[in-house]
Amino acid sequence: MNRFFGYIKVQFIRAIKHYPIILIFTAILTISVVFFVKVMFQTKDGEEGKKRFEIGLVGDLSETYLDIGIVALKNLDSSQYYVEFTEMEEDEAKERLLDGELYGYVLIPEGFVESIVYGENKPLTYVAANNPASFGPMMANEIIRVVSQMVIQSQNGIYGLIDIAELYDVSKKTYNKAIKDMNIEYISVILDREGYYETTYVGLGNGLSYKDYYICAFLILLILLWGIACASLMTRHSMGLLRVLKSNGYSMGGMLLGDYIPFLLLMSINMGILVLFGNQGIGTLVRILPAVILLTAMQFLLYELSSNIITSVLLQLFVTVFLSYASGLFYPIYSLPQIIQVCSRELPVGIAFEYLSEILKGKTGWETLPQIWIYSFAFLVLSYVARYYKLRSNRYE
Amino acid sequence: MKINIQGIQKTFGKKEILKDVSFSAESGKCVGILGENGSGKSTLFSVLLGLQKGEGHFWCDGIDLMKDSKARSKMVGFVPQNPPLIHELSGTDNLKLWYSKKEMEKELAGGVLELLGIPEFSQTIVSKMSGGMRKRLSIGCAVARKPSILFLDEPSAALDLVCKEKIIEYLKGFKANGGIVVIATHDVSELEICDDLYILKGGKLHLYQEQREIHKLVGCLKDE
Repeated sequence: MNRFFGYIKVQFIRAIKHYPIILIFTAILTISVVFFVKVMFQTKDGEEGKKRFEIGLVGDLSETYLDIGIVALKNLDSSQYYVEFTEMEEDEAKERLLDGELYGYVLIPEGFVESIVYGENKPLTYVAANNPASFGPMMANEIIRVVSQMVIQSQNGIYGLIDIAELYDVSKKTYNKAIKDMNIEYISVILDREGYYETTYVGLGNGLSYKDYYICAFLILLILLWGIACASLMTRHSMGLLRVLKSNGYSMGGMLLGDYIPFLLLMSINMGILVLFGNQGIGTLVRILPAVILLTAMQFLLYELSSNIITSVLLQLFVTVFLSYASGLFYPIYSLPQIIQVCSRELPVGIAFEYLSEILKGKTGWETLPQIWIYSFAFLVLSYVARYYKLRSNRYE
Repeated sequence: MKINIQGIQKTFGKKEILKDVSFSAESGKCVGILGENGSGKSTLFSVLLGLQKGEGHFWCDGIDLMKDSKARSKMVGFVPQNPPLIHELSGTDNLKLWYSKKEMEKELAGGVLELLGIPEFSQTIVSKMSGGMRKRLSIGCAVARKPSILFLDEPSAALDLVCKEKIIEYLKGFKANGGIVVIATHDVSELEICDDLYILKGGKLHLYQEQREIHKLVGCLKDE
């Protein structure tokens, strides 16, 4: 036991000596990642506020009621915040559509309103750039169909009223007022359509909002990058000392733990500093700790498998990039192929991500904990095996 | 006290590195093992000290030190060719692996560490130490548990004459106190302290009893 404490004491001294450099790299990485995330969210929010989908209106727009409808759509309807309707000639519309400036354009045929009056119902044409089978144009088609039905039905109602008024010799003055009231009634129904449904957002597949999803993802990525920053501490240049210690009765398992514990402590300190900057308490750090333990155990194994600092860093980088992509840290997991989504649930980074997601949703994450402990233990056992075979190799150094 | 190494065998794949190597030594004696590069001297030490698996026995006062790692860690000190030190730490921090705080202070003040001249550079980081300092520090680490048997693999390789003399003086003192020294060496200056000299050749150990002149030794190493 004394030997174990003696060994771990020396490893802590090593860790403290390396920590200033590790801290500098950690600070640079953390600031870069936080800055990137902030810019990403600001840009997205900004873009959502500023960017509107532009749809062209082409054709015979001279009819009074059509003109009133278009004015109402542009200025009174809630769609004005995300859709911009612009009148233009067809040539201009085609050119802008091909350039990607327009999402699509509506072609209103000549005599459209008259056709409604006489029951011919000339169709509106929606011209889009994308494959009609894709989601965007399909939605646009449905919207156009609904709108044209509403327009057709409301116009049918108005012209029906005119027919009845003329049949019963009602004065033009009287039925003009009635038509006006009826139009206003129709328009208010269309404009008030948001009152007929409620939208609920359930988040990015796993129940997290877009923002929380990426906070979770970048937290995991930070832990992995911090682990790479510890390469100078964790890369062992010579097995000679370990061999001599082992022949002097030092337990290999004890030495392994003596190397792992300072590494875990440094990573926990880094996380603690980040949690502090995020105005969170020690409870948050304790809840995040299992994810830190899992990822550091995985990285510890990778360090045991490498023999010098270059291979250590390259191996860590490769595994970080691969597992981060496969676990949905770069793109939302639901956008990846099904097979990757299934595999991600069994990968250590995916498990850590799942656990942190549960914590962010305010849950305990207990369901993921057994997986975390099993994987962490397995990584440490494999590290022991890797070290055993390294120590057994032919020459001592 | 007497050590008796019997029948040491080591094979790598189909190649026999050590074939029935045996020798013995008593208290106050030094055994030198001479051999060409790659003859198996380091492998012999590895097997005897439990760093590699091998067959045979390493008897000392009725205990087989090849099998009893606890007894071996108390009785045997080992100084490998490349000092097993942590390069980013100071001499003192390295010694903490081997000495308690009290023991270290005592030895630095007037014990074995002071004898090796370690207090002069104990606060220096190992990466900034000279070869001689590192070697003396690694000897200091090896004798922490006051072993009675010391194995040294080319202890004064690449050292200057002053350093070599210091180490040889220390080993003479170790012998004089009843310790047993086993040295694997190429260095003629180290031969002077060896009471028995063996040549390791073709995996076998041969006792060398002739005059210790370089040309005769070289001839012996080259002979088939």
